[in-house]
Amino acid sequence: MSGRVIEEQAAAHARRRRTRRALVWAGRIGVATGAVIAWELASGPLVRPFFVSSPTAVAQRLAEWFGSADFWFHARFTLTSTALGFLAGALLGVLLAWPLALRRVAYRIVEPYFLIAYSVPAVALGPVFILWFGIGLAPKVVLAAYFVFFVVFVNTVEGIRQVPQGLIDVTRVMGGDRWATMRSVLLPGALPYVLAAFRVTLPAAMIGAVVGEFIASNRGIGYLTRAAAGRYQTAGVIAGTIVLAAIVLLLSLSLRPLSRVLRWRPEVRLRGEDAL
Amino acid sequence: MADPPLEEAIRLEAVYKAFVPRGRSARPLLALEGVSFAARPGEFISLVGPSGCGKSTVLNLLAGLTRPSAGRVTHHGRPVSGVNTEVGYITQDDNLLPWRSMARNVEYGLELRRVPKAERRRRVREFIDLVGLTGFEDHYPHELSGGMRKRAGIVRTLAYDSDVVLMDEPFGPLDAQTRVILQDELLKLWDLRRPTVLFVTHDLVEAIALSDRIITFTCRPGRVKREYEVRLPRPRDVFHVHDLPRFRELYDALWDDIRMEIAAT
Ligand SMILES: Nc1ncnc2c1ncn2[C@@H]1O[C@H](COP(=O)(O)OP(=O)(O)OP(=O)(O)O)[C@@H](O)[C@H]1O
Ligand SMILES: [Mg+2]
Repeated sequence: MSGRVIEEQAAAHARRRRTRRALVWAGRIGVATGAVIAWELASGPLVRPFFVSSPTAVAQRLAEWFGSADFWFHARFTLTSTALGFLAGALLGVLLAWPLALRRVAYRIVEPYFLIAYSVPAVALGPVFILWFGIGLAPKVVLAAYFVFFVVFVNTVEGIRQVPQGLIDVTRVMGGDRWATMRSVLLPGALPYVLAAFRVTLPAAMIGAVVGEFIASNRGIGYLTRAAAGRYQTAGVIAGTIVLAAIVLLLSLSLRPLSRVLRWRPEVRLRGEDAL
Repeated sequence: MADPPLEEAIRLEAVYKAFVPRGRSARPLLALEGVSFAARPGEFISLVGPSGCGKSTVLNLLAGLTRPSAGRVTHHGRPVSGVNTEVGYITQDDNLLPWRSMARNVEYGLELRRVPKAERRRRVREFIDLVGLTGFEDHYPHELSGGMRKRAGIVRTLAYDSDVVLMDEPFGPLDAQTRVILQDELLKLWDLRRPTVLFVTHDLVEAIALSDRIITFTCRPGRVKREYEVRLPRPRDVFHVHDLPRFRELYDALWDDIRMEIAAT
C-alpha cells in the first residue's frame, strides 16, 4: 500500500513536470505563431506594408543575411561586444559590492556619486565617447558594461544585506573567519539576487552595445539595423531586431547552468503543490 | 602557561546591558541590570524568566556577539572579548544554512574548525544516527520537520566538542511528546562529555528534569531573582521525574517565582 502511494506520488510528480514543460513550450510557440499570423494578415489589407513590412518580407531578408558572410561578421561583432560588456559590468558590480555592502559609512559616502554616474545620458555623450574610446570595439563594451554594472552592484549589495544575521553569528561562533563567512554564508545567501540581476541586465548589455553602434560604427547588427532604418527598409529593421533578440536569448541560455546552484530553494506556490 | 584549575567555566559579574533601538522615537532600553552568576565546569544550568527579560542577551554576551554595557563576562577566567569561538551556541532560531543539506549542515561546524574530511564524515554519521535523522542526510532544511531541524541544529553544535554549550530554547516550538524525547536524547549526549550547559527555557518541568541548578530572572530589566539547586540524582529519567517529591517541591517554588514576575509585566 505505502509503496504504491509513494510510486503514484512520484509518477504524478513526474507527470506534472512533463505537463508543465509541454505547456510552457506549447504556449511559447503558440504566442509566436499567433503573432506572426496576425501580422501577416494585417500587413496589406489593414496596414500598409511600408510601415510594418510582413513576415514573408522579413523572412526573406533574414534568409539573405544568413547566406552572406558579411552578416555573420556583423553578428559576431555585436555578440562579442555584448558578451564582453556584460562580463565586465557584472564582474565589476559584484566585486565592488563586496567591500561596500557591509561598510555602511563607505557605502553612504559613495552612494550619491554612483547615482550621479548612473544618470549620465550615455547617448548624449556620443562624440565624447568616440574621443575617449575610438570607434572600435571598446566604446561598445564600455556602454554595455555601463548598463550592467549599476544594477548588478545594487542588487548584490541588497542580496548581501538581507542575509540573516543569525547565520553569520553561528558561523563566527563556530570558528568561521571573514573569508569563511563570505564564502559559506554571504555568497550563497546573496546569489539569488545576483543571478536575478544577471538575468535582467543581459538584454541591457545588448542595448548598450547597440547604442554604441548607433553612436559611431561601421559594424554590428545595430549598424545594419540603423542603415536599414535610414533607408526606410522596415523589413531590415525588423529582421535586425529579431537577430538582436536571438543574441540575447543565446546569451541567456549560457546563464542557465548558473541557476542550478539555486536548486535548494523551495518553490513558492499560490495554490497547493499539486497545481501546475 | 599553566593555568591553575578553575572552579568556574563562566562568570557574569554585575553585568548591565542597554540597547539603543533603531528609529527616531525609540528610547534606550535596559535589558540586564546587574546580573551575576557563575557556572562550575560540567554544570547544567537552566535560565528561566519572563519573555524579554534578557535570557538570550545573556547567551549572546557569553558567545561574544554583543558586549556588556557595564560589568564583566568571563570564560575560564578570561574576559570575553570578540566572538567566543570556544563555546557552542544553539540559538533560538535553528539558523541552519538553507542551501546546505541536513548532513552538510551538521558538518558545518567541523568544517569551520578544519576537522579533516574523513573524521568529519565519521562524526557526522555518528551524530545523525544518534538523533535518528538517518535517511534524511540529503534533505534541505525546508524539507525537514520542525523537530528534525532542531535535532540537526543541536548535533551540529555538539558534533564538535566545546566545553561550554549555550542552548536557547532548543525545544521551544515542539510538541510535548517530541520535547520529552529530545530532552532524553540531550541528556544522553550531554553525558558523553559533560560540558557546561546554559539552557534557556520557559518550561519549568524541562528545567527541573535537565538541570543541576536553575536560575530565575525578574522581568525586564532582567536581574537574577533566585537560584535553585535541583539535587535530583543522575542519570535522570525524564519520562518519570514528575513522580518524585523533590520535583513537586521545586516546581511549586519555581512557579511562585515566575508567576510573580509575569504578573509584574
Ligand atoms: N539587538 C537588539 N536591539 C535592541 N533591543 C534588543 C536587542 N536584543 C534584545 N533587545 C531587547 O532586549 C530585551 C531582552 O531581549 P532577549 O532577547 O534577551 O529576551 P529573552 O529573555 O530571550 O526573551 P524570550 O524569552 O522572548 O526569548 C528585549 O526587550 C529586547 O527587545
Ligand atoms: Mg530569547
